[in-house]
Amino acid sequence: MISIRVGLGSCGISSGALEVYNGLKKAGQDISLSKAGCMGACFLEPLAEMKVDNFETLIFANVSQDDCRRIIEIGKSLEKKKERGAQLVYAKRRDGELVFKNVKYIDDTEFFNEQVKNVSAKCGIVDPESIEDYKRNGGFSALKKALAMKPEEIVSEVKKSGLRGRGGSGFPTGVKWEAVLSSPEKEHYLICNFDEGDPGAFMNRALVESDPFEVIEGIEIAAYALGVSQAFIYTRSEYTLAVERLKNAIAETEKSNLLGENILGTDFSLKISLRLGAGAFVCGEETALISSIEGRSGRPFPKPPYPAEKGLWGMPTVINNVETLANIPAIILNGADWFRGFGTGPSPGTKMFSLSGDVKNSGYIELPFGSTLSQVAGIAGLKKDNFKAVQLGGPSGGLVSKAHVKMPLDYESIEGAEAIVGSGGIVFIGKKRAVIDVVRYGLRFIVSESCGRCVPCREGTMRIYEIIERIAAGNGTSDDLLNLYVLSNTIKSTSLCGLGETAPNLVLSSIRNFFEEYEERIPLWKGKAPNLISFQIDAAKCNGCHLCATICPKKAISGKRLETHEINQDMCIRCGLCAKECPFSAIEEHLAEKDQKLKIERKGKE
Amino acid sequence: MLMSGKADAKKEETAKSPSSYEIEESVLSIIDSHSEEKSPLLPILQDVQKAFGFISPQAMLEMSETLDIPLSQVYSAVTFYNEFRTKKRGKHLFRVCIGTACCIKKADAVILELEKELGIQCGQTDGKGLFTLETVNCFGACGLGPIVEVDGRIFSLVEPKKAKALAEEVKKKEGLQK
Repeated sequence: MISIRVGLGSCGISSGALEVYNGLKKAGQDISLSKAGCMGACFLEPLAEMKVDNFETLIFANVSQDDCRRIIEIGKSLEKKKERGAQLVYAKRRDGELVFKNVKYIDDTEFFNEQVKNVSAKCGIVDPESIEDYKRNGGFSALKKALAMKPEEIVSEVKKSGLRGRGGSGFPTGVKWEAVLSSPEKEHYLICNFDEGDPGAFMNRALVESDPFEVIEGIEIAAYALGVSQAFIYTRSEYTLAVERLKNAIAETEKSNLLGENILGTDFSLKISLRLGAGAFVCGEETALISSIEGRSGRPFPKPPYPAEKGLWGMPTVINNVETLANIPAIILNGADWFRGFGTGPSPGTKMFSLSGDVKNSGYIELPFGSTLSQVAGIAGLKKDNFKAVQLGGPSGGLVSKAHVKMPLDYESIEGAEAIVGSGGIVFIGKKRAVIDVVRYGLRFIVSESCGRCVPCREGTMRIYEIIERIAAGNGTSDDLLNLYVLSNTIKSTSLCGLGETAPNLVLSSIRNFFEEYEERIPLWKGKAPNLISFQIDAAKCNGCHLCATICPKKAISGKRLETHEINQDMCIRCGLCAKECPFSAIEEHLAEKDQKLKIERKGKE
Repeated sequence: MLMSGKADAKKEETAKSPSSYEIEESVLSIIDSHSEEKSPLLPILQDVQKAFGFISPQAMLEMSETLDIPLSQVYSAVTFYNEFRTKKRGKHLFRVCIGTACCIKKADAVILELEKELGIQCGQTDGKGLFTLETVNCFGACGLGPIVEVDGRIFSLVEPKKAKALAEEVKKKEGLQK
């Protein structure tokens, strides 16, 4: 028996997977053909997997319509125990009797060998439109287990797991849940945030398109734990395929009495409604999302009160990202300790990232927190330093340079580099591109998406965009950089919501990590730019611990132990590492020009 | 603003446009179909746009009266969200992704090529109401940029050459090219 599975995610369909599916249907009537989601390797699309009898599954990559007939021929020859056409097979899976000795295993390829698939384990394997297939692969067993537990037990298990919000903020999920559970109000709401709007991020889309039932199961467990009878999924309307699959998944689950009234014969009833966004990035922000569901323009409102106290229609509301909720079934099934076995202490578990830009291998990946950027570069098929910059966390994130390749990807380390995990978009920028152009694209997006409610974001982002445009065109003045710097910090500290607070990250991180690109473009300076920022050691505070001298990447700091140290300004590249790490806060950032002192606010410090 | 919108809509009204009675009827039935939901303004706007291709001042008035929401709130929602239009789009819609990953892969060149081929500027509809060219912030297929969507179908790895072919194909359909 030949069964073939074709990956039909958005990426696959846009590369022609539907044509392949129809081609296979036509070419072989006696084969069993099924649909699957996407296993992450966009660059291999369209993908088809073939299972013949008890033999290992064969994977065909970049399949075209013309290949269909030959794929079926390979399957038929295999049925007769003949191995023909090895050159067409891209890889295979270890799930049966050995065939095609010289073909490598998919787990050994550079794209997959370092990945740890927990949340996306079933993506590309199960049929996203069939609840039966999901159940066959262990689906809904976590829900059954959860319904036998007390709600408090579930919340405490989630809290113990240390799961943090995957949408960007990294707030502990268990703490959020506890706040709602302990509120005196009886009516609670749960919102699944699937408003993945930042350019360069698509792992949530892939997850929902490939395994929507896992998301539904996660929502149900969360709703049961929180005493919710009405949950919402807020999704981007641009994701048409994901919306279709969610609608289908909700209907199928209802049909099987796994959703609706008295689920599985218990007292627990739940309704899940789908709400479509209408193209506004800011609606990913919790309070803006609530405004949008309430039928108003999606503008945020000040916190507190937090949604956990007073959210949708004034009731306590939990808003979780879809990836956060998709983590719940596995935590309930395997326990918090299992979950803590992945990732780092403060950032446990795995995270899905999407890879795009100047890479050889694009797609989404799943890695434990704490994996390094160089590992990601390896997965992307880039030789050690064959890139100039990496944008982490979308337009609200930051640009880091090659100097950060050893940086572990977890909430704390990334924030230290003036970037954010965000929802997990990673865009590699090649050597030939100008970093300032990337800043320009990002800001153009932010300016058009600023909701207009607060002045710093509405006016400020517009002004920094103008300055960046001017510098990019080669007409910058030396004042521009200073203004850019001061303005960015003002926007960061005075904006109402997360969009404004993170809007200048691109500018600030690019000034810090790619200062030379700005220098080149400001005509007056011509390579001998005055130091915009300088770091100086406050003799009164310095204890001479020598830490700064050890960590300085340019060895620009000198001094004897237990004596005041000094920074050689000619050697200093203004990376700011010393100021961040100094245990006595003895190193301060100065604006050399205009002699203006600016203390930079750093999250997590003070 | 609203008044000028009204004037624009009138100008665009052609012989085929539905009469105000028909608009009233279908807007009311759309509102009816959402009567069980709480705060249904957004889903209603989405359905109205699906039915008419844009949201007319009359439709907004109808919603404001029936749902008992201030007209200003309806208008604010319509103009806040990128998806809603107050003017009719062309018959064929070209949308180019200008997300970071697509920009890195030279989406700007694709826009220039399409502007040249279709003879309109980005954001415009041509005089005959055949083509509209727009940008969109991200389709979420960043691994395969640049991405162009033509009449709801998404194409990946669109270089200027392929964009030209896409435009020519649509023009052929309209009998504008041999």
